Amino acid sequence: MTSKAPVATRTDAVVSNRLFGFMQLLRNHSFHISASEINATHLIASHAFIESETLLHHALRSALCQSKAQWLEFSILFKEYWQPKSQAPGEPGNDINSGSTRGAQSSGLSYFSESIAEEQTRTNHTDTLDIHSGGASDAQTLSQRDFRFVFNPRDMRRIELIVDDISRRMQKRMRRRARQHRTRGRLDMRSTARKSLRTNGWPFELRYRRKQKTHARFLLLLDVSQSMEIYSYLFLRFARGILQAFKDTDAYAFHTELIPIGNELKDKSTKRLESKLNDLSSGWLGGTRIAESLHSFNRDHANQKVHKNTIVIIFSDGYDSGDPDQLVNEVQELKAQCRRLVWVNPLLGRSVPGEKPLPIEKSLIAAIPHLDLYTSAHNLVTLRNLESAFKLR
Amino acid sequence: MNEIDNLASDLARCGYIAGTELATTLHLAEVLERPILLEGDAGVGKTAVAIALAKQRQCELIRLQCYEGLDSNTALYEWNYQRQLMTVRLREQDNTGSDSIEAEIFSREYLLQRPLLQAISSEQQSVLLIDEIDRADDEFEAFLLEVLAEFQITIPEIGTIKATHKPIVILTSNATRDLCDALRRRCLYHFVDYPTFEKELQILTTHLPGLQHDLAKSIISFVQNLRQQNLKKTPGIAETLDWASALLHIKTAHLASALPEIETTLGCLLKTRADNELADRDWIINVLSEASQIKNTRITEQNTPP
Repeated sequence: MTSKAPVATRTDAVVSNRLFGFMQLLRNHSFHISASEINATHLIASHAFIESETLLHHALRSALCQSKAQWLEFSILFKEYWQPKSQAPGEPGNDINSGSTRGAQSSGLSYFSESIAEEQTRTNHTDTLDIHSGGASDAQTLSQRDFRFVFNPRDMRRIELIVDDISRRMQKRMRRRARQHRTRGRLDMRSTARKSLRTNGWPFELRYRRKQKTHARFLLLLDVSQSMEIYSYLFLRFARGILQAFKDTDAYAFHTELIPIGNELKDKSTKRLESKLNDLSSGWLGGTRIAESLHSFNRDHANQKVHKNTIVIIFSDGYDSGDPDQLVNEVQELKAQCRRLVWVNPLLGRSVPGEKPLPIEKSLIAAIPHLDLYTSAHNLVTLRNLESAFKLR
Repeated sequence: MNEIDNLASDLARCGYIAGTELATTLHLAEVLERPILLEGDAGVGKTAVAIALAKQRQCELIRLQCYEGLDSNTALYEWNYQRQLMTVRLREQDNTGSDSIEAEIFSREYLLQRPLLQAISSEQQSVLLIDEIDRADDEFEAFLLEVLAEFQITIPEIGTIKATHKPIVILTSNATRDLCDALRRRCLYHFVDYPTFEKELQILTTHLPGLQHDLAKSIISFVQNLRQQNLKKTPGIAETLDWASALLHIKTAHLASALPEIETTLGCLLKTRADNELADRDWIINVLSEASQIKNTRITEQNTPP
């Protein structure tokens, strides 16, 4: 972009209108544009150092972006607004529903679809990733819709962003609680008096009582078998958020065998993460041997990964091709070592209260009494409610 | 040459290759009197921006390193409690009145200035670096908002201290957690990414002028390729500089024929056990051959007329 910016006429109403239009575009793309941002924009545009469109681009990007995602999106939007392409709305790149019908499946085993979403943004910026747009009822419907009924890639993308947000918010709330534990305790008079003996009774050094800190450690076990195909994608995404938000957290995936995925999910680079998971995912979306996988975990990893403050969360539909008695034994063994054992079964959302449980629960039914919490997470509302599972007390 | 180009070249003289994008943000921060939030992975040179800016402006760099549990006492000010007690005891022996003792022990002489107060009460403009803000607690962020909005601090015993010269404030974050929206909105944002081939080459030749140009290109190609590998800890610019210094020290002439040297010095780039275990001889040869392709492509691109 080497063309000259509207410097000579930048005080003109035309330029103001163009800038205002640009602000509107940004606002439609979830940028936070308030009066102060508009003010800053006009101030920047009227400054003498803005000699070219490139400088205007750099300056506005610094003033209006608040995150890496916005930083990456801004350049595309700026270019399209100030140098619009003549692309007809019916061109292939604009069809948001092109490709697979279900968002979760559109990427196949490519579990983290940011790169695909970025591509979509590039080809069609009007297909926004806006999680705030749409009426309240629309958002409410989406929150209560079972993940298996989300067919639109755009809705799936909105759900992905909300799932990311849930783990971040969870971290914020738990940090605040932990902060209350960290505050300096009351003055320890006994210790202060003792410390003052060597200074002739003068309390030169004050001593405070320290509050005991107990940190929870989380361990996530995710079923990635065929029967969990619809949900495992979002649970992996949720697990990634949890792993990146909390220290002392680890994750394992299981189908017919157990695979450690903690290090992979902690990777911040989506591209690298995607390639790592692709390397690991041979055999995924096949059969399930929950009992054997839990046995393998108890035998090889539980000693290092589970202690008295560990909260273990299993995401699975309980569909096990193994021996039900072995499952009970393994659940009992795991329960004996951890603080809380939570089982998240997304199929629970399909059960009608008061009626006969779904036949799929049969293999799990004997293990349920040994769990601290048996819950569902089949939609956004139930996923948000999972926060209670992450509490130590 | 305009102000931004001037700033970029001044920073380059101070050892920091900023480029127009970052220079624009730095200039804008001064014009709009707003703090800058630099976000990016560890080792991409966020802290170095503040150091170079202080050097360029020939002013004091005041650094506040954030950590979990950082509170306002550590960031702002504390009374020198021990010294106050000593004074009280000495003055009591002199039969000094309690009012005058109180006035004395709560004067500025007994105030221990911490970085924020130091930056505000500085008689010249300073650069205030609030490093790794994402490590601090949410409450500290909220407290910081107040200070950065007004650039004044009220000490009940003394009164309000207002900045005569507003410091240039640079906040850095490794994005280990989300910062609050209010803080982000008050700052100019700049995402610092890993440098491009050309920029990293410029950084390397600026810091190590004794390095042969061809070797420098090979080093950069190798590191750029390494960043594409599945490593637990991606090497940053500091690692590149360390590795180049190590290779220079052991008098390496050509990277392609220096496999033993690469093996012995790779610890400068790979900082975790898992990454070191991954880097066996075959893996290095593979990375090296891919790096050589990158380098050849760059040379071809440079020689092709536009």
